[in-house]
Amino acid sequence: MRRISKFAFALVTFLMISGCGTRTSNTTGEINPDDYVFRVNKTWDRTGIRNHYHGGSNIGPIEWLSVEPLVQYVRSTDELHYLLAEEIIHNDDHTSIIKVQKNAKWHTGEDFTAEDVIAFFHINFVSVTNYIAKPLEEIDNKTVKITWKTWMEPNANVKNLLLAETKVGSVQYSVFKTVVDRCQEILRSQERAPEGYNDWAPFGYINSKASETLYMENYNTFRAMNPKTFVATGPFKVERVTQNQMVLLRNKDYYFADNVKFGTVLGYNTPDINGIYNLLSTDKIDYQDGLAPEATLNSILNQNPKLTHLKMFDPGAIGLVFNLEKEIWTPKVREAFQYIFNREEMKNAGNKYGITSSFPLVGMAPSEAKAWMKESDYARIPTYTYDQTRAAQLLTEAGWTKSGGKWMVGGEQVKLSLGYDGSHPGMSGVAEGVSSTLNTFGIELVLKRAADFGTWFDTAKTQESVYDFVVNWTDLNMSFSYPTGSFNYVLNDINGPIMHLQYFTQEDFDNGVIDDERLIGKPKLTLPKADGSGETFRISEYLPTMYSLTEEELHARLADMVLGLASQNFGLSFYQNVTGSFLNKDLIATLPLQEHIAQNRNVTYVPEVGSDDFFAVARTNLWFSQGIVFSKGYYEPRP
Amino acid sequence: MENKKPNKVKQVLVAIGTFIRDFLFKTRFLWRRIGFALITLLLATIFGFFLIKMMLGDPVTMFAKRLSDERRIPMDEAYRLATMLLNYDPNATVWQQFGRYVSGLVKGDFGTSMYRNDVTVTVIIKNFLPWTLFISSLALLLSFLIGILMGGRMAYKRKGFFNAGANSFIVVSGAVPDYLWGMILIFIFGVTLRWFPIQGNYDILLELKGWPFITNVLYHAFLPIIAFSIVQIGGWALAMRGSALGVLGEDYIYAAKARGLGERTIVSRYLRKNSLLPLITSLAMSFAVLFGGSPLMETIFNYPGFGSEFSKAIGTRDYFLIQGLMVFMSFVMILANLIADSLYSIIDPRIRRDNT
Repeated sequence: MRRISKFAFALVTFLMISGCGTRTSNTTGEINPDDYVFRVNKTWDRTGIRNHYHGGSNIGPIEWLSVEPLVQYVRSTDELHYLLAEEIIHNDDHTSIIKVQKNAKWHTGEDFTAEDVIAFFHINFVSVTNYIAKPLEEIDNKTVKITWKTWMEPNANVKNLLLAETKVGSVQYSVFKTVVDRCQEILRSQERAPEGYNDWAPFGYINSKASETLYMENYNTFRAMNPKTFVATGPFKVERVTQNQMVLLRNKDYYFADNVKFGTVLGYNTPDINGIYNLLSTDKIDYQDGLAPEATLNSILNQNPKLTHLKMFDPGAIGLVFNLEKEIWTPKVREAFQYIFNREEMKNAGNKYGITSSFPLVGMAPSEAKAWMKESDYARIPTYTYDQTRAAQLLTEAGWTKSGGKWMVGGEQVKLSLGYDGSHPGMSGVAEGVSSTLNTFGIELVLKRAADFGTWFDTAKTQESVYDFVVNWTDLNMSFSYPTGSFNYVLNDINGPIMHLQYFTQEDFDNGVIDDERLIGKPKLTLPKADGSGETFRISEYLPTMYSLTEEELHARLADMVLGLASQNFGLSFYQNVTGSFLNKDLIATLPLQEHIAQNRNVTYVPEVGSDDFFAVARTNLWFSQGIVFSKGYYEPRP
Repeated sequence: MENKKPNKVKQVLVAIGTFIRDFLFKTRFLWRRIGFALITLLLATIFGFFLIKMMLGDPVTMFAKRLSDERRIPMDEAYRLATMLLNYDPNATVWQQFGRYVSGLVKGDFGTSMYRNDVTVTVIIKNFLPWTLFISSLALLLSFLIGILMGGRMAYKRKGFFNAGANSFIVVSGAVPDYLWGMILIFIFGVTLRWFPIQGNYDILLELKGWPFITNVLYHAFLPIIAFSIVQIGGWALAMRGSALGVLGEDYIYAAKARGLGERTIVSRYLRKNSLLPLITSLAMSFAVLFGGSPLMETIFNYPGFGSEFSKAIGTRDYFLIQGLMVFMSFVMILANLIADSLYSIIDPRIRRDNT
């Protein structure tokens, strides 16, 4: 026993001395990028990554730091940064010219050319291709011409944003020539779309079932390709990848090489949230996006004095969404529910740093509505205060009665069930808050926690769902902020099925309810116009043309949609979500909000929409800005 | 002379037949077990397939959500991309899927990920099982070693400070789940003292060869191994104590004492060795259990093991991988049971007789 103890002690000491020998540290003195390591956590597939963006694997930090678009937009601010495109000129003749950076090169050393831009769009039929009238044209080695469909030409702002949405620096024509050429061949063999055709027709060609099959086969071949080096153009090159760690080295041939002030990026692959907190606490990473519960956040900052935490708007609001399939949700009851909750308390339960909202479900997050709507229209959005007396009055008007402190309807006690995605901490907090409020108010509530998004969504959208209402994003923009994405989220993709909105069917077309077959599957919803004329509009006719509006038209359209949705009380927002970034302030000398950081490293100030800080802080979130801070030189290490 | 040849052939054939008949008769207990094992495997395969089909969560929507989050693209765009990227036909009937699944198994194809056609069950077994087996087998051996030392001493000296301490340790270590031990160890030795790494299997900045690499791997494995071991020690100690108490009443122990042999000699040469025999089979069975990995522990230590990949497949509703991994684990468990059962039968003829 004694011998074993001695051996164990010797082994532990030896492991500690020999195993922890590798450490990186920053040197002092003049800035030499090679001396600086930026450490970040972003998960990738442990089973290995394919050496290109379209290989189907999650590639972790490579996506931020190696694969680039023509123009990068910053989520939540829509700020544009030109990367692979030196310039994009939009002409009056429905064409645009993309001029590619003269010095842009692939990581293999070959030039990035117009051919590569064309190759990207011609194998990835991304959203923007639906607005383009014909295949892209190569004007010269570094210039590409786009011809837009005249009948659905996006405005200049949207053109840039659509082009910014795609990682164009991911298809090197010389590497993927066979599949790109094959794709072009399939494309050109299809029927041309007639003028005015606004269904899916990339580059003006209508996809047939047969060509879809051919595309799929070709795309699968493309996915399966695995070039020797990772296909990318960005500021960092992939050096080495293991199951848990990744090393990226500065690309010395990068066209903005002088901007890049860090020599190495060390990536960690830690999916578990507690593991991430431990990495932050023990000074293993210099950056992490997202929030943590208040106590955890402060504990992390206390344990690691190098860190600060900045907050920025997340373009989405969290609240309640009603299942309209349930008869209980009459207009009066929906309105009553707007008054029941103390939204400030609900916000605190979900995200202490959020911004309390007093809006019903309107289809846009408050910060986005404020940024895009006319001020006078924004002021017309109905706001609701915490007023349970008013709620009780409305419920009584709806035929509800109260007996023994419990609300009854039709002689039976009201019992509701609330579904929520238990993997989302904010939503779990809100669900608990709602439960507490409603039980006190006299409405019995059963909480139904789903283990993950998939289970929750499946349960919520199914017919005769067990959920009477759910906690969810009442509006959310995953992509750029120009108003469309959030309306699609609310009406088509996620909240529409959860609310059980009605959609046009084949039967509606056969019976003449609609005269356009392409409206099948689109929401039936009609809403009152905002001008008070009493006229209504069909939401399914508004959405497809959002990108082509002038500023004035957009204002009118937004007023109709936001105020129209608000009038229905399909849900209620508790708070606009606020997210954040943990950053190593001792490593990065050029962080914004230095005065705030000096006062309190947990910076709670959320910059106003449109202010300089608003843009600067959003950039610090690498998920929002995708590494712009490196390629544009916003981050400089502290010497 | 002419009749002799056919007679000889006949005799040989009869001899072979007799041998086969005798062999089959003698080993009939084994064939019966193999038959049962195959039926169990078949049932596990069918049960697993339909159980997975009952899981909520549409993989296309989930993948679209993931793509939308990762690539910051709208859900409709992500959904279109997800449909293109998935190796999955949502319109296929359950029976078509089952047919495809079984025909794959027959060909030795355990399954391919729905999300990536280069990720197969075989790839996962090859890449992740070695890491799982590495830490869990070391933990098993360590806990076994400490457990038998502790149990032997507890049996021999049933009073005193050591016994009380050991009993307390067994109660506490058994009552606290392994993942909680993992978190406690990380907090103390990883976060507070910073003596050991809090996650991973080795440092990427090292060369993948030589002594530095080995020590770095052991350094990273230290906390997971300790966490795994703590909960297992108690079980082995109690089993050993039970076995040793039986041995203590044997005549040869009294004889050894009468011969004036020292305590240490009696414990190490007579008591421990004889008490160990029944524990060896348990050790073999425990080894089979290791193949399943420990998803929670591997997640806490962010260790690239088989269990955490399995739980990831469940989280992403990668049906084809889940099915394949379940079949693989069923196969290992059933095989281990079969071997253990057969060994018992071979070692102890009474079991064979009882069963036949």
